[in-house]
Amino acid sequence: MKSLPSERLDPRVRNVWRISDAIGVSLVMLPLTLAFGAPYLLAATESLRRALGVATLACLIAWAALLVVVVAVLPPIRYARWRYELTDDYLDVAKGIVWRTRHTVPFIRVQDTDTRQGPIMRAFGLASVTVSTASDSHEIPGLTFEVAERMRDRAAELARIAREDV
Amino acid sequence: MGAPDSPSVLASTFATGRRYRVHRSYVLLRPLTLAAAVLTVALASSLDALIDAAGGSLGDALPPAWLVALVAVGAFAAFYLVSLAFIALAWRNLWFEFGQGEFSLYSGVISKRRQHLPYARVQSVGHRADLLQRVAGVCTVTVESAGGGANTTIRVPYLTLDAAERLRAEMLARRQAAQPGSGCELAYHGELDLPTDRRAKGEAAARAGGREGAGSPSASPRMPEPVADAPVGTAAQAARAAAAGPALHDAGRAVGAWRGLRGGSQAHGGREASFQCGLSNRELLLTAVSHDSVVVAALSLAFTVAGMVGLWSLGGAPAAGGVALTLAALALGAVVATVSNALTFGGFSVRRVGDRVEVESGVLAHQYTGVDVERIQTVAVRQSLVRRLMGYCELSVGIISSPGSQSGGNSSKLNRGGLVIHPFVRLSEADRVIDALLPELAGRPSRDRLSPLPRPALRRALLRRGVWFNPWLWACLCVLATCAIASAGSGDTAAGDVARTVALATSAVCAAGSALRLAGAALWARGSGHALARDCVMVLNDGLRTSCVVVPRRKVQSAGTRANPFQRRLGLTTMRASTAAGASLVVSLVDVTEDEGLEWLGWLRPGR
Repeated sequence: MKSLPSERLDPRVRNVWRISDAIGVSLVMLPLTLAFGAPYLLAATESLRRALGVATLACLIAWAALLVVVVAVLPPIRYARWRYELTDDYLDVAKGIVWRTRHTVPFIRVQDTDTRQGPIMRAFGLASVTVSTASDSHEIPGLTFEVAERMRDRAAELARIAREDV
Repeated sequence: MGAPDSPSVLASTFATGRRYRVHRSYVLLRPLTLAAAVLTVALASSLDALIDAAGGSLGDALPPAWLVALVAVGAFAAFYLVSLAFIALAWRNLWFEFGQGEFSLYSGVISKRRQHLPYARVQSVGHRADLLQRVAGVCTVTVESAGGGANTTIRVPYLTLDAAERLRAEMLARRQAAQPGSGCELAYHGELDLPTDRRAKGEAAARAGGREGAGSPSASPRMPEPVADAPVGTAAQAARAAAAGPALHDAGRAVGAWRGLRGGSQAHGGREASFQCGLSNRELLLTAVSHDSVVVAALSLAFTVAGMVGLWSLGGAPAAGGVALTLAALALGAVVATVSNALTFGGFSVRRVGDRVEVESGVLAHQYTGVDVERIQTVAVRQSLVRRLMGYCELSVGIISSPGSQSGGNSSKLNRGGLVIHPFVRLSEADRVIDALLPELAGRPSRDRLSPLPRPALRRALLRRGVWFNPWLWACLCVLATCAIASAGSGDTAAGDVARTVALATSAVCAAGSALRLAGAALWARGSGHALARDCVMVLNDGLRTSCVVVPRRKVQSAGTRANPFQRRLGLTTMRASTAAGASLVVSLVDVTEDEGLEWLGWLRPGR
């Protein structure tokens, strides 16, 4: 058995991760920053104002640091670790930065296959494919439409010919 | 049910398209359960107030006990009568029907509900009965289907045991007939003993107009006349008892086999069991005593009492009395849990009938579960510490989970970690029982073919279980820190003494707990391993408690490995197998070598 699956995701997926993760981080940090920043502007006493100012600054720094991490640091590493291989019979997936996981999913166990495309992915011409078995599901986040369609059709075809064994 | 006329003709006792009601005891017993629950809640919520009133200055002003009892009985009766009216209405709108291609259950008075299940999707039919239902001889039938995320469970409440058994046979026969290319046909053999609605009888002709699914009483079909109830202890029952061997003479089994007032005679249709076994009185007693719940119940009750005694002793209560109370709580918890286990596993019986494994258990609350062999995903041999020392184990199977297919109460002991197919069997006999019940797993690897864990696994296990994931250690550190802060914060010498005592006691308990965990880690690293055969994988997690799980290759949905940086540094990984038995039954083994992990992933690939 080969050490790692051969296929990589489409390189454009890094930009998808950057944008979606930046939005996710901002959705958490923006209200937090506002929660300290708004009272800072209205604070009556100097000591309270100073404390709220420090908290707001800390939030802004954390926000900026997280943005740097999700935009500049994580996507290349994540992309380098994300591998998959689609054969006639099975799907092989390897991913993870700290906890590295690897899964083999025979297509005859696949119950359904979904293709999904959010607005960010659509902007980059990508789609994600979710392969579900009777016990778990595995998502491949950045595939071109052609590959996604091929995977879905293959899974559906094998699911039809597979024995009902669950 | 009679025997089929020919191999391709299956006997049927339910007419297609006729609507059948559940037993009338639903009307009488269901409100009783509701009223009892409401009264219990009311009593529990007012207990504090009653105690306060009795202990306080209001004690003299309290009404006499007989008046309180009278009011309680009156409230109970009033609630019972009111709910009786509603339940009677619900009963009139509750029926089931065997249609051409599917089984349907209609329910609801205002909001109508129809659950339907195509015969081809029926996976298992079981039944269970609580104490009240047992006395009445009725039970709740559970029909489960499987189909990935669309699993459903249909419950038909309050059927007589006789009707439940016929319904089960009918369902399985119709499923067989519904299989493409089965060549089977159904032959209607007669009516079923189900209640008749007298008013509905006269309206049978009106129904001919056909108001399908209307659910109103006027739309009710004519029900067949009930036949005379079979007396308790029929010839069929006696024959069944005699056939099952000497173990059935045991008291627990006799009670377990009792079919209640309306249970009717045993309806044995179809094939004979190719294997059947149960528990003798001695085995039942040992099962009850050695079950995990005994230790848990005894220790939790003892800890609770010890905590309370500890609080009281601050006020000067004698230490000897506290120790005696704690020991009494320990014994009481153990006895109560033992009795509960004996009632759960009393009358236990497992058999292989055709392509099904059937399990029955329970003295007061009775449970019957029949599982298709195809539905079994894993087979596990488990030992608790006590059973490991005794050389015995518990056998269970993981089956495809359906939402709501398991309920709480005593039955959970039978369903915990899968369905228990034998609660107490000698470890050396386990393989023989599995071979007899599930000959499909004959190709599973034996324990002597296990690949042991590599040497670094021991050090990692000691660190993992002894330090990082050792709840005793972290709890002890928290308590010690709290005691240190408490004694430093107050200058009181007495408070400092109490803090020191608490810290000492906590440290002793945590040290004992940690020592057990370390011993378990050492045993785990020494004895665990996995083995891959052509059609099965076996994973053994050894330790103070052991778990040996066999998964047929066809039932492994996906194979995975997962490694953290520490494992990668040592060339180790964790192997995982997920099955349709649910996330709680994921089979995994920590710290196999990377090569073994790759071999494991390759093993699942088709055409390897």
